[in-house]
Amino acid sequence: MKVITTEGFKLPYLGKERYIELLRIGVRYEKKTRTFFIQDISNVDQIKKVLSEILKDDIAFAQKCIICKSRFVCEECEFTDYCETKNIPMLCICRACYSKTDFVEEYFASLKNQINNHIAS
Amino acid sequence: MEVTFTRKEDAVMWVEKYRPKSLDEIINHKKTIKSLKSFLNTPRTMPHLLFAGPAGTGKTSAALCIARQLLGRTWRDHTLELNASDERGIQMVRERVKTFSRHATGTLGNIPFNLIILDESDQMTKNAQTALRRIMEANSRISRFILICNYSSKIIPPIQSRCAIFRFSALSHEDVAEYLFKISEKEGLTLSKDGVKAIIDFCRGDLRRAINTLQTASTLGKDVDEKVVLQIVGQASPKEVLEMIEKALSGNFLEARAKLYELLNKYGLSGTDIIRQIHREVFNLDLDERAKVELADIIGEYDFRLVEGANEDVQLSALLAQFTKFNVERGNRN
Amino acid sequence: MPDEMWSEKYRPVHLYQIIGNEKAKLTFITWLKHWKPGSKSVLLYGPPGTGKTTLVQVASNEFGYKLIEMNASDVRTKTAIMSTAGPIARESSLYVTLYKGAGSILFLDEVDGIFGREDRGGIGGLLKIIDETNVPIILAANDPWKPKLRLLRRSCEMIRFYYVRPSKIIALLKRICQEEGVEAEAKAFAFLAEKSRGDVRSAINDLQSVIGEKVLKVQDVKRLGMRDRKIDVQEALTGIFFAKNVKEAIQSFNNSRIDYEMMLHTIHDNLPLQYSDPIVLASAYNAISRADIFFGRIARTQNWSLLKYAIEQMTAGISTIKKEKTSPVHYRFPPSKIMMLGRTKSERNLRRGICERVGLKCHVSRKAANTDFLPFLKVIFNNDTDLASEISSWLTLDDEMIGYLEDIGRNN
Repeated sequence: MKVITTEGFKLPYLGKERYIELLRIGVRYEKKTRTFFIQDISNVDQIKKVLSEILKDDIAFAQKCIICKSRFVCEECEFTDYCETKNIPMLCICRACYSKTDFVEEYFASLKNQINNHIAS
Repeated sequence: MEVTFTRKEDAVMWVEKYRPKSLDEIINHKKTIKSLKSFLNTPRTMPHLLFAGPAGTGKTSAALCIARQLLGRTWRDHTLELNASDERGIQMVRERVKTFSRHATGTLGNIPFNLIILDESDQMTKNAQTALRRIMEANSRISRFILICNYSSKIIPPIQSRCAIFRFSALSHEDVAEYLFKISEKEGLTLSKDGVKAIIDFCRGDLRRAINTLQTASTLGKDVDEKVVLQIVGQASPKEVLEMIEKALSGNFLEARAKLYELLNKYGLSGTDIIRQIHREVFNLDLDERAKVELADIIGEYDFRLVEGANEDVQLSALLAQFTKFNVERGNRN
Repeated sequence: MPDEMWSEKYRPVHLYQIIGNEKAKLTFITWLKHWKPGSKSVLLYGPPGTGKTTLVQVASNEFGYKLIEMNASDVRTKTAIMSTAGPIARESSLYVTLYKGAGSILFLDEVDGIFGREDRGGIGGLLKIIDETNVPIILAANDPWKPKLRLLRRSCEMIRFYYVRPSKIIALLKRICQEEGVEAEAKAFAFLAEKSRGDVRSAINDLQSVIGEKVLKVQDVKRLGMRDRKIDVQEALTGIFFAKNVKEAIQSFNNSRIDYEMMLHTIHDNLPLQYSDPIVLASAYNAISRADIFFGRIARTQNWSLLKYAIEQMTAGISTIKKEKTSPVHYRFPPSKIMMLGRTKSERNLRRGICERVGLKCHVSRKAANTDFLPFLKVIFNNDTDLASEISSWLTLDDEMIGYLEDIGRNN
């Protein structure tokens, strides 16, 4: 299983067709650093399929914890059985943060920070 | 045959009051008792024990006698009584054995070992029994187990092979009668012969039920005869059983099933209890003899299915549905 | 106001109070911040209860816009939309530029609902308004992929909303419970989150509906799940009882979300409601009795390959019985047996307590105490008060237990 981080990953040489396909479904390529980015997750299932064909392996997208910014995969999560957005790369809450007693406060504090930073920028 | 009792003055229920206090007081199972007594002389040679046999035949009594006679005055401190059907899972059993061992070992001294009596051990699943085997092994240096069960075949072989197995057969009717007469004498009752027969008809070889029946009958007066016993048996059986049968046989399935649920939930009776009582009641019904036999056949089939199946309420409801059908078909025949 | 809907009471006022879809939220804010005449409009799309409408309402408030909101439920016809939306969209751009942020926002909610049918003209009109608007226009839809909305998709920036993750829903529910002073069993939150399937609004509604006396209990939440399954049960039982052939009967079971054990009990419970003919009822019961035997064998041997036989008997075994024509009834769910257990719970606890005390003194299991002692005790308690009181103190029964034994004796 390969874990893909939405903000930057490398791929082997693709060929033109595959490259165009990736761009079309929401992947961006930065020539200078030769890095791919997932810009738009609307077509996440297709991205997953194409990447897994390119890499010849199962793909898991890294989740990012909105509270502590750590990365993890859905398999580590206790809600994986019924999460409707399993394996779609998103901001989530990692196990460690979820099990803190004040995680409710921490989550809303992170939301507040995020919005404030965004509006200020 | 001579029955002697050491009376336990404080016990109110006769089942306890007249429970044998030493192995000598147990009148039946001669061979078994003889081998058990040999352990009293050389306690350290005693292996784990497995007592198998039907209800009310003295298995628990024998185990308690061993505890009392082997461990002496402080036997209660060194004996742990567990009931597999009461404990929630093997984890609980393990915890209780662990706590007990820790607390009882400190005072061992001239006590040969701690005794753990595990009743209804055949109620445990195979997995739980495998875990039990490990618990037995882990504790065998300081503890002996006496496992009590109805069917030794339901105990996994590795446990069987670690135990000396003793079988307790059902008490003969003479043995039960002997006990009942002795108790009546001590309690100042006049128990008639037909009274004894009525009790035995109701309880078969189950001495525990027999003694409870006798004590309950004594509440109606000092003379216990057939009439008194039948009255008690009638009062002790929930009237819902008869009502349920009558409803089913008159074609009212829904109400019959409601009664069934009441018996299962409110009275907490097991499916086997209920089917046993249905069987008894059917022969008291105002039906022609042929019909009774045909109904008994249906009951027999569902008694079998009850053992095979997974849900008692499904099987018993199915039985009631057969009763309802029986009623219709009989109507057509007549 | 005790009856206020919590989904309204706790509707976010600030952007940071909106849970989930954080990236979509930021994309939307960026769009709104930089919006000027000539910018694209946005189409927010995704499942219900994920915060689209809330985001629009909160954002326009925080950025000082006046929100003009229209949706399928209050504006039915395209002409109504055109006559309202047109003038707003033509609001003077000079006005907007001079008093930045003081203008209006036009919000068309549920556009897939409004233009769901053949309304090419309507969409055309809307496209024209979008093209020429002087105010930000926001569209929202659950399903934007309908062919009719193709042109709309092209002229809008699409922002996708997803179901909200369970952990975030739990955070919100916990916060609401804190505010309301509700004492909650920790596990209940996970059940609510699971049941909501990522729909925040329904999670809040469920939370409110299961809280009794300021406590949240797991068992109440579980009962809530039953409510949803009721519809499923009605469909499945109709399918089983009225299947045309074996395959259809089995299919009806497989299509339902009810597990086989619950299904067995549900069929069992509803059989007499469906079949009044004793002959048919007996055959049907014979079939589920057979099914139950297979379940028993599976339980003992763990041989799950027997499961198919059990399912065949409990479905096709019933549907194939020859019988007169009947029609579906209103089926009972959950099975009455389960309800019954609930109703007599306190009584069962009382019995259990008595049996425990008997077991302790008389060296028997609770089960044996129940069958071999209780029936006699109730007779004794009714016949002989002296012995009854001796027994009570010996067994250390409390008043409630004594009362119970006297009562059941009397009733017999």
